Amino acid sequence: MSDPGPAAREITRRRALSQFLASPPRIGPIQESLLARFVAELDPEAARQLASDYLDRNPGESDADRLVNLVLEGAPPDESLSTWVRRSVQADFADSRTAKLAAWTVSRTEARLLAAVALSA
Amino acid sequence: MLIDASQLPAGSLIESDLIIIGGGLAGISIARWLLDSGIDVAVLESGGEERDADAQALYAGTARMVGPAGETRSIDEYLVESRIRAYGGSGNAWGGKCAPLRRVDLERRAWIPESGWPISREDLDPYYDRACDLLEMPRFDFDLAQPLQRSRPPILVEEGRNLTTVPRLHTAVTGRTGGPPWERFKASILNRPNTRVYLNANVVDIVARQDGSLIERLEVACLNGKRHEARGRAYVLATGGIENARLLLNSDGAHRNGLGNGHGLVGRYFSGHVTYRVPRTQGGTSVFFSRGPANLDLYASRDRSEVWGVLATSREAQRREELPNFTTTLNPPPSSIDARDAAVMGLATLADDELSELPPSSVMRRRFLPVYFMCEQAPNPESRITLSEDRDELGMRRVDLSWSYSADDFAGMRRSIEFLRKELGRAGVGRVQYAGGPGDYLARFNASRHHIGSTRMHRQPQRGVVDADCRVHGVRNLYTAGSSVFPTGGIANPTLTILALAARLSDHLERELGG
Repeated sequence: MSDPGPAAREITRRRALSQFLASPPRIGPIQESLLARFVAELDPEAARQLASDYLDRNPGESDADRLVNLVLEGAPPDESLSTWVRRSVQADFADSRTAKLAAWTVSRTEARLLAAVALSA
Repeated sequence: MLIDASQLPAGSLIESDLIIIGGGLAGISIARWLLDSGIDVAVLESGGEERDADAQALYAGTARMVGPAGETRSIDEYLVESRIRAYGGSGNAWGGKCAPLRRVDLERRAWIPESGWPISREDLDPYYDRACDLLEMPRFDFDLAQPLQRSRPPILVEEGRNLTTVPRLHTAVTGRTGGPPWERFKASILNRPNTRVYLNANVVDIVARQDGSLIERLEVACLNGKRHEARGRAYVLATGGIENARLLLNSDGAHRNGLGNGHGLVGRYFSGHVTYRVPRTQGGTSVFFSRGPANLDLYASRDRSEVWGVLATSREAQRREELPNFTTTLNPPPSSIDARDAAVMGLATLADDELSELPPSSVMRRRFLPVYFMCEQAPNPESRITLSEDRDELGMRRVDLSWSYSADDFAGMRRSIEFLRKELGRAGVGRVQYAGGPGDYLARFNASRHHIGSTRMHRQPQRGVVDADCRVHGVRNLYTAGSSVFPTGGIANPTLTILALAARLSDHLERELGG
C-alpha cells in the first residue's frame, strides 16, 4: 500500500490520539503535549512492528480499548495521565513487569501504550 | 646496558643480585624502582628489541573457552595474539587504559567462592600512586560519584546507590601509541651500571635445590642454539599471566608437578576479561538515557587526555543482590538511528515528568549510546593452564589452556544485565537494548589481553601459589609479578594493578637484598 502522505498520516494520528485520550473518562486534566508529540512523531510502520512484537506474545490484548483500560487500571481520578504513566512505568520495572520491543526492555505499561496507539492508527 | 644473549659465548654465566625473568612492563618497572638501591639487577627478556615471528612462535599452544555445559570454542590463536615476546613485552601493544581495582574487588565476598585478597585496596593505594607517577599520569585520587568537572557530570542514579561511575585514564607510556614516553620508559633502565638487560634470553628451566626451597640457577636458551646459565640471590618471574604458570610447570626438576606446585594450584583459577556486545545488525546492545546529564562526554568521549567514566554496579548493590562486579562501557552515538529505536526512545521519555515536550531528535540521538558489558569471572579451579606433550623450539612443553566459565558466571552476567535494565527503568533514567542471552555468551565473548589468576595470591599455601609478598610459597627466593597473582580480577584494566604490586614487590626486594 502506498504511503498516504504526511498530511493524511497526521490526520490519522490525531484521530488515534483523540480516541486514545478520549477513552479514559476517569482521568483528570490531560497533559497531552508530550503524548501528542510522541504520537505525532511516531513512525507508523515502526509502531506497527513494535506493537506486533508485544501483541504476538500477548494475543489477549489485541484491542485498543482493552489496552487503554489496562494502562489506566487503578489510576486515581485526580492524577494526571503523565504522572500515572510515570508511576506505572517505574513500578513495572521494580516488579519486573517488562516486555521486549526491538530488543529494548520497556515496561509493560509502555508496551501497552505503544500497542494502543498502533492499533488506533 | 642492553646485551644480546645470543651473541655471548655459549655457556656464559649471568650473575646478579636479582634476576628478573621477563622484560615487560612489570619487569622493567621493578628494575627501575631498584635503580638507586645499590642492588645489581639482570633482566632476561626472551625476545629482541622488536616483535619477531620466531620468538612469538614460542607462545603457540592450544586453547579453548569452555561454557558451563561443556561447550567449547577454540581460541588457539589467543595464546600468540594476546602477548608480545619482545623488550617491553605486551606493553608494546597495550592501549594504555588504566584503572585501579575497586575496594570491593579485593574484599572477601561470601557469594563469590575463593574471593578476597590478602591485602586491601588501602594497602595498594600508595603503590597505585607510584604506578601513576611512573606512567606520567594523574593519580586516581578523585571520586566520580561526585561531579568532577561541571561540563562532564556523572550519571547519578539515586546518588550512586545502585549504579555508580568508575574512572578510567590513559597513559602515554604505551607501546600502541609509541613515541617519546614509551621509548623513555624502556630506556630508563639501560644507562645505569647496576642494571643489565639481556635480549633473546629465554629461561627454559628454573632449577631449585633438591628440596625445592631455594632457586639455585636458571637455564637460559637462545633460538640460535646457545645455552647459558643465570644465578642470583633472588628471582622474579615476570613473564605474563600465562607464561608464569608455564615456566613453573615446566621447571619440574625438584618436584614432578612443577615448581611451587605442591598443592596442584599452579595454572588453576585462570580468568580473564571479556567484553560482550551484540552487533546492531543483530539487535544491538545499547542504552538510551531518557534523563541525566545533557552532556554524556564523560562516558563517550574519545579524548585520551580526559577522564573516562564507566557505569558500574555499586558495591552496595553487589552486596545486596549478591552480584559480581559488572560494568557498562558507553560508546559514542551512532550516526543514524533506526525508526523502531526512535519510537522506543520517544516512548521512554513519556514517563519523564520534568519534560513538557519531546526533545528534538538531535538531542535524542546523542542519548542513544551503544555499549558493551563486562562481568567479573569468579575464581574457578577448573579453568586452568596445563602443559601439552607438544614442545616448542627450545624444548619447553607448550601451553594447553581451558578457560572455563561456570554456570554461576553466566548467571552473574545475566542477572547483572537484568539489574541494569531494572534500575535504569525503575529510576526513570533510561532503557537498555540487549538482544542476547546466555546462549550466545561464549560465541560473542571478545577476550582482552588480560591473563589473571594462574599463580594466585593467598596467605595459605594450600589455597594460593604466592603469599601476600608475591613470594612463591615454599621457595625462599622466588617471586612472581604480574596479573597471574590476582586472586580475583575485578573489571579494571590490570596493568595499573600489576605495576602497583610491582612497586610493592620492589620495596620488599630492597629490604630483602639491600644493605
